[in-house]
Amino acid sequence: MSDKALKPEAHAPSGEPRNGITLEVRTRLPDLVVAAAILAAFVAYTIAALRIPAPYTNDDVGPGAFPLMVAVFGVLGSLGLAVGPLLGMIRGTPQDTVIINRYPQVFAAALLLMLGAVLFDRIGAVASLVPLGLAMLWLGGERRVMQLIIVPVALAAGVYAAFAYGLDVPLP
Amino acid sequence: MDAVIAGFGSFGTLGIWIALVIGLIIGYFIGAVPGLGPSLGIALLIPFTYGMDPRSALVMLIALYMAAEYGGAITAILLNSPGTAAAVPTSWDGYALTRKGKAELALAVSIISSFAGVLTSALLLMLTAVPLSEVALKFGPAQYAALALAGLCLVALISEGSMVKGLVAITLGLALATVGMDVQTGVPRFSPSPDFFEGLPLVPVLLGLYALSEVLFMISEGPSGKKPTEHLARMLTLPLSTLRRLSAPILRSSLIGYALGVIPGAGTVIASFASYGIAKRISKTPEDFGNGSLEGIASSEAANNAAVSGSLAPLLALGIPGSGTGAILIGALMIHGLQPGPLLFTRNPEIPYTIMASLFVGAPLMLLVGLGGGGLWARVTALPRQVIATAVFLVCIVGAYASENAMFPVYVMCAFGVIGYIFRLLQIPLAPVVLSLILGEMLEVNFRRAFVQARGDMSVYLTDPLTMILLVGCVLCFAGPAWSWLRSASARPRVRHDP
Repeated sequence: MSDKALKPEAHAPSGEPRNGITLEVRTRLPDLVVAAAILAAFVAYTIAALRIPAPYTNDDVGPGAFPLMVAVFGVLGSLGLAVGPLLGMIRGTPQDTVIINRYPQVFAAALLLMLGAVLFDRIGAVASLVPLGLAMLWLGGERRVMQLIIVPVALAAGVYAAFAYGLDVPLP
Repeated sequence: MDAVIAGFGSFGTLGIWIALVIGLIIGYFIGAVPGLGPSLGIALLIPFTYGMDPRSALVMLIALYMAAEYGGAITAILLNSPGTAAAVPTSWDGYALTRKGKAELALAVSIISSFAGVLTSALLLMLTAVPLSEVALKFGPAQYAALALAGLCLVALISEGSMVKGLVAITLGLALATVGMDVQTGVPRFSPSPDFFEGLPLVPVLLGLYALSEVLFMISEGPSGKKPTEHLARMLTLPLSTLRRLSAPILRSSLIGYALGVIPGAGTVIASFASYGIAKRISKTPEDFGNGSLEGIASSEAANNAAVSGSLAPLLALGIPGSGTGAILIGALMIHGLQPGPLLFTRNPEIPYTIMASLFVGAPLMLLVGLGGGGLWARVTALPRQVIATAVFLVCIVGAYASENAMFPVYVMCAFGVIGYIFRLLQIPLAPVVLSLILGEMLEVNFRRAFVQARGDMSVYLTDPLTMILLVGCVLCFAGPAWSWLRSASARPRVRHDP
């Protein structure tokens, strides 16, 4: 993203001083990227909707009619979403700014979500919940060693007990 | 009357009382922690209700909703950090009172106002839900489809962010609702694998959009610093003379809150702000608002809790949620095999009346827990953010797995967690996505049923007066703001180029 800037020590919405690396992003390009992604998704959706079989009778509009109507509005909406940033580019109007504090940790947390999904089934609930909890707590900024050991074990044990024994849910 | 008695009779079992108390306590906790909120709380609690009796499950969730709306006032008053958006007006006067050393008075006013708001609106719900459901029983498929569409358009109009983003959110939700096998013909749609044949699993989508996205925001904010906790008396109290003085604002705000809560998309936030604004306008001492006015706190809290019951009216009677949280409650009803709408009053009358009874029974308990637990909730606000993020993350992983005892819902939840985070960063509202996802099937089924009944004649949507009014309303929802935008764009001064 060409408009990014790294600014430490800006203030968090809660009024607490920020810690970690801050990413200040002008929203015009991300808005355009997201609009393009949504437009692409709706174009793919439209193509898939056109492949849905026609209705069996003349009385019914068939399973493809409603998705096609949604697709039309979705394409129009995503084009509308792109109009604002494009007009802003042409007119040179000021952009909104989104501040992502601690963005490496946020990115790592998003990856941790995927890793958690993969590990949970492969190595089992008990074996995965503790390290996942530890990793999330560490990404959240906890650095006290005792808290890093006790809190994930306690939380994992509590969640596991609540589901496995309290609700009789069979966990891997 | 038998159904009303049956509703209150549900509280003859110990299980229901336990569910009520657990819901209240968790609701207070959820509401008191900034960022969590009733939507996330209900989404997180749904997996715990899978094996429960539907009545107990719904009583627990409604109690959580009610208590969480109040719980947001705790941090609003003590820390100037509202736990819910609806508690923002409460913080303007509540925190001012805390700085003057009167935190206990502010908390007492807020809990008593919330209690009164819940009771008043519960009575209104009982009086209006049944007549509304009887009117809805006369609706045909065309009217239902138009009503669902009008509800979605209203939500897009009122929700945060731009109107275009609201429209995109609606179409995304409707598109997601079409994934899976078509209900009427069995044709699989947008299903790359058999995992998708049942459609997208609702609870994991909700957990991802609301809970996991919030976890990412908590990670972004970093570890919370040590917060000083107020030392509060064990039991909060309020002088009777103060209560008498506030009775009129509380009653007025309860009525405003209920009326606004009924409107789809309006919800507790608009009710709270509108009531505060009206109270300030008609007050004899408007200069006190923002500086510790008890009337301000009472107006905000009575309205936002009254809106809880208000949002239940269209949910129970029409099957149309009045708010994003209401949409999640509809999901909970469906998970327990119940279809919200007018037929709920005829097929399962014990359910809506148990819900209404839970408001009457839960309100005094909420008052007792709130007045007696002030010190405890003050300590809750000091919980480290990173611990809360970790707890929510672990509950989400296990809860999503527990929904179907499979990994597919967990993958769906993680994907929607990232999508929810990106949407919230770019101010694309989540409530319309959730509402459309839930209402999409109802909208499509009734849309197609209307055509079948009319033997393919499209004029069925143009000949019925109610359907026409609702469809015109849908068009106006977007045409009005679009017209205003065009007018403001053309009113901008043109640059004159001199030769």
